[in-house]
Amino acid sequence: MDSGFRNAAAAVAVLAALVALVVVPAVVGQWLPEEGPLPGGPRLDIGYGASLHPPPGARLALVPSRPGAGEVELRVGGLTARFTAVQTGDASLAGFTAHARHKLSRDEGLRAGAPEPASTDAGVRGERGTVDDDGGLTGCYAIFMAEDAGVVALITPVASCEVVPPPVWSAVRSLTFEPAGVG
Amino acid sequence: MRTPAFWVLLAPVALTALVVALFAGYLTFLAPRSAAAIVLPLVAYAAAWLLLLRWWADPVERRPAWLVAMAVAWGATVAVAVGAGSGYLLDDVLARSITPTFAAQWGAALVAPTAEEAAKAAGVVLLLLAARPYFTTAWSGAIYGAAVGVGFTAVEDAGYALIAADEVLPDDAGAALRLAALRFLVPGFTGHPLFTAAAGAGIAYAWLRAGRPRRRWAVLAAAVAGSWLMHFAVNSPLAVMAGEALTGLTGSGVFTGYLLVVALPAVPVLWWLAALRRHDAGVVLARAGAVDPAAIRPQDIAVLADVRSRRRAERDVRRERGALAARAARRLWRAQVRLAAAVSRPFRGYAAAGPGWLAPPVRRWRLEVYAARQALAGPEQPRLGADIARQALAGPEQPRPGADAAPGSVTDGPGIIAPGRVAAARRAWPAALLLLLAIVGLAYWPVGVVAALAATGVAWWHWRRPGRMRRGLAAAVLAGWFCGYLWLVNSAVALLYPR
Repeated sequence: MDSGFRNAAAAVAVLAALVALVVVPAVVGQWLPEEGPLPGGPRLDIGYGASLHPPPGARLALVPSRPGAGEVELRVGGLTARFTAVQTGDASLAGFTAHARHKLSRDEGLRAGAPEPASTDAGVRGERGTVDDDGGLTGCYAIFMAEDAGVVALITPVASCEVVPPPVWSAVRSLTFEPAGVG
Repeated sequence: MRTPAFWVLLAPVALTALVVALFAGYLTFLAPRSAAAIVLPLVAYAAAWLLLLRWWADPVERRPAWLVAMAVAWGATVAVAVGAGSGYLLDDVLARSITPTFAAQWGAALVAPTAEEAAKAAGVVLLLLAARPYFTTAWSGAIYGAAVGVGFTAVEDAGYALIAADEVLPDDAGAALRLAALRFLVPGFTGHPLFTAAAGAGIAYAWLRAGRPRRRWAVLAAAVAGSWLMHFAVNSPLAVMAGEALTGLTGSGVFTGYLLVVALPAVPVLWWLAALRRHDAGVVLARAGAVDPAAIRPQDIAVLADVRSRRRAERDVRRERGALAARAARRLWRAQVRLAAAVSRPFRGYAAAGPGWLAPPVRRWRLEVYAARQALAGPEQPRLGADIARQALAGPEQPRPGADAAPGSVTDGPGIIAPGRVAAARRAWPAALLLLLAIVGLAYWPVGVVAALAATGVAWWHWRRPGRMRRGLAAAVLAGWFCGYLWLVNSAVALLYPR
């Protein structure tokens, strides 16, 4: 019985250590800030060769953002501007944009309205449109693709793309795509 | 045998299996064609690993299928769930406490080894607690640890492949297959099975070896550190930077630098595991030899302890005595190995051999050994086994049976002779030349690689007889193989991801 008790106690201790491995970081994370300053430099690297000129006064959401690895979320003037970059390989713009709209609807419950053509300051063509959900949230999305990379931008909450504040839309238009290095 | 730890191990496996199945089901729902495309390659990959462990890495013992299945299940369920959850949260802490840029660059290298290796190593500890009599040597920890790693990598690779299938286009089976193939090839042998094999060997070493507590703790710490470092190297931006740096070199491939960095911590770990494997195989054989010295003689151990030694000895027998004699010798060695496995494995919860008692499997294989020896006996081949075993030995020292042959207790073992032990270095220049060729081949593949492999093959063929392989030549052979692997990876990546 004694050895059985020790065996059980040791096993439970191992399980407890595993639980702590999950719980402790979760608790510690709650005490840390959610936003922070942007990385230095005039341009913000999103990833896969895509970068943008961030709007003045923007702060970086620390939890979802991974500059250089494909995800950046900015908080500016009560708005959230999320930029997601992926490697698109030889996918077509039409295929990529259609799937991106489908994922906005499937994963985030945001229905995309009729898309309209859009382009960046560097001449990269894409599309933009309005999104909304059943809960009354509305926003504006934009999708661009060049140099084997695609970026999906989502700005919420705004009523439509026309009313996106100019500094934020300037940041979207400032998107550039460089050829990626060794991947 | 149903220890309390067995149920403590089983419960989270069953619970997280449900969670993992639901997540896998969701990903399959998103990308059904991709799921159908990758399931066979993944199953084949996992099966190849398990067969490699069974037939090559574990030359003597026979592991119970249920325990191997539990190890694989832990890796595929609890380790994946805890590793993913803890990894996400630790990465979060890193981003919030330092910067998201730092987390983007170093998160995978720092967080994943910590969270995932801890979760997998916990599985090895629980397996030890649940089935202690089946852990006969430190090598048992390596085998079950590798099995945990196989389960982990299969599920992780499936997850990544299905996520990639949904990333750009809907249900892109090509993207899923390319990513799965890339993850099979890179980092190849230095993946999760090796990481957890190292940690598992260290855990079992510290747990099972008698005496010298400082050394046991030191080995455990080094094994766990080696496991963490190997995983760190695979995920670290240093490896990517090395890949980018060497891309500028003429003829160098995309992954040359990356794999060089990955190989750095893996080489000493593999060296240690290879030595541990031979040593512990010798201990298991010596333990069976102590039960019946006539069945497994000290001179038989050097041949039996390694699959390559047996193949080499069989080739020698076939060349000298013919195919029938080779088959008879193979029967004898198989019976001896099965006898050793039967002695080391508990029988219905009890030791398989004790004073005046032998378990039925032990008796059976003991009889088979004697029958096989009888079959070998003849006017032309009376001492066949001894002749071959003597050829396999290099040096005057003879192995002795283990001092403590009781199951569940492992000493530091007798002086087991490994056939690969070298004499004084002679003709080191061919080995040095081959090594140089192999290194040159790294920079100027494929011509250099082909030349290095060809030269290595010729040298290996010439010096392949037992006892002649020098450490330098062995290093040259390994370097040649590594060169060939680099060429394969770079060619495959160029094919999968044409730029």
